[in-house]
Amino acid sequence: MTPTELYAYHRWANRRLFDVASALGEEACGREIGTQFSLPSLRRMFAHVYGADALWLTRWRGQPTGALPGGDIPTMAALRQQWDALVTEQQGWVEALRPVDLGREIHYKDTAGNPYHTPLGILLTHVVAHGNHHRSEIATMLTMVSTSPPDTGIVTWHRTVTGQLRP
Amino acid sequence: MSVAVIRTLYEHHWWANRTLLDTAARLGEAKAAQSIGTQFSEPSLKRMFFHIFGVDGLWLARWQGVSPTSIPEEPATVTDLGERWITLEREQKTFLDGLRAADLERVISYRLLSGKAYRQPLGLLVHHVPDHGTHHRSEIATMLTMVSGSPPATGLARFIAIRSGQEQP
Repeated sequence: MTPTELYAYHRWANRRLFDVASALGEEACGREIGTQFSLPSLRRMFAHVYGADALWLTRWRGQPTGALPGGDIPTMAALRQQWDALVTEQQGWVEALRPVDLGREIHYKDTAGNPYHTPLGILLTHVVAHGNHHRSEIATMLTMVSTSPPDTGIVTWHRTVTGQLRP
Repeated sequence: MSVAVIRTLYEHHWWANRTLLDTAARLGEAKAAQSIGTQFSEPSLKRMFFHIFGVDGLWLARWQGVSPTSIPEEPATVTDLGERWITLEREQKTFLDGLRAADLERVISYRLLSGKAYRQPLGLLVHHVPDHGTHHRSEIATMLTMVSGSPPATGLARFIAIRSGQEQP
């Protein structure tokens, strides 16, 4: 798995669930579903995945970060617009990486200001894993408000893009 | 991703599974086996852990050229599952210790339990298993929040921070 492939998967998985949720309408996506989830609504959960992706891209570039962006985006349509712009930036950055970059230590601060350092290769994987964690919550939420959504695992993605499985 | 990164992903996978399994075990066997809701892909904490364990074992066999036609019998308790998991982790570690970069390109032909055949590179499949674990650990975290309280975070970045001494366990 190259970073390019990993992020092609991440974009596909996010988009697959985003489209399912969007089809339910803005009201369903903004509705509070339960305090057992890390964010209360589908829209806030998607915005969290978007916000974390944006924050990490800034950290990888060595730029300072503030609070997690995205929490105040009012609609799925507005989120889509901002996310599409981020996706283009993120894809360009990831696809320009050379193998030697993956071992580079990234120094960053968390949102509370605590300093950390971790190799870029691990952080690239972390962002996709973070997306998986919240996509799992989104799948449970969608099951509760509508029905179980299509699978978004990496094996399903690969079977689909290689023509072993119909989209 | 390099073999070194893949090995780190499994060290994280084992740690995250164990952190949540220990949290669930402390609630007692009855709570771990209780049905929590049909919105989850498995109804109870115990079944969800067993699903991760079972799928880990299936993939390890497929990577070694064997496509099992059934899953093992579910252990009676979470404690029993935890003990069997130690053996499986050891087998996974032996396999990962023997991996070289060139192996990641190798195409694995395997069959699902249903008999359907697929061909996929080992590098993708070894990545999938910890990812699959993350998906179901997220459900486990929601279930634990519902039956008790929000469990400790088990994300990859936190694991790395703890392992490198940048954060307290």
